[in-house]
Amino acid sequence: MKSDRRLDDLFRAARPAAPDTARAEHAFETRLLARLREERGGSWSAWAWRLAPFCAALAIGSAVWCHSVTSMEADADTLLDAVRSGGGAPPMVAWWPEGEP
Amino acid sequence: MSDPADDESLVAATLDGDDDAFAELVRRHKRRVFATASRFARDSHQLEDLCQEVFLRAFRHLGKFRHDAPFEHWLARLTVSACYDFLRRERRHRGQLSLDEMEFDARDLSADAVLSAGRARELVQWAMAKLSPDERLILTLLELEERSVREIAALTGWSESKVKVRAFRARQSLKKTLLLSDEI
Repeated sequence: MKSDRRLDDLFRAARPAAPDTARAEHAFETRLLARLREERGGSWSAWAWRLAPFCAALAIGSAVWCHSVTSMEADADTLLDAVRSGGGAPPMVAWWPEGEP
Repeated sequence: MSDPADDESLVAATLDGDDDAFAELVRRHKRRVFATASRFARDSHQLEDLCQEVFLRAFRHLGKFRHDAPFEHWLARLTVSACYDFLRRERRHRGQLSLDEMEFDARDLSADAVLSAGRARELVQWAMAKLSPDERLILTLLELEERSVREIAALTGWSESKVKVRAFRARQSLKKTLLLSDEI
């Protein structure tokens, strides 16, 4: 058909007319690697921000735990002092061999 | 790099975290990627974005590269896939554009009886812009890049019969568009 032949002619004429991409290709790998590094850096900071609440919760949890352990030790020391002073020692402690005078 | 390494060793080095190896891969294959992408991009910004998209996809999916086929073939499939996605995005965007400037190109071309290569390319681009993304992709690969039906099927992941049917329909649509504008 005539229109088919004309379409083929049009394609044949257009085929070698690929645009010159030499300028666009210049230093392309440098720009690409810069973008890759930027994305990588971006992903690290994104992860850091995502992890921030967990880190904060962990820090608060650790602080609470440390505080409770310290106060428990302080309570234990107070109790031990009371026992050592001998005043009103509980019977179980008095029964222990070390508790005898 | 004094010893020119093959693509497979550059892929392995990239996977081990060597960015220079990836830069070398890009340097080797960018010409072919730019040549294909330039058939679809309308300006240098789009071309840069499209080529960056191809190589970023390559970098992200490099671990999926099977060494049973050359790296070049794998990259060609990624290029075609990125170009197809680009055409689909463009079609959505083009729906909002006025067609006036494109119509002007066609009227300008019709004045000239003998088409130069550059003008023929403009005319083909103008007419192809009216096709669906898959029709445009197939006609570009078949008629402008001169790839075989089998190659196109391998690049797109479509069956050969589907490629043939779409190519036929695309040619019919293109002829209709050009006949309506008195170009053929």
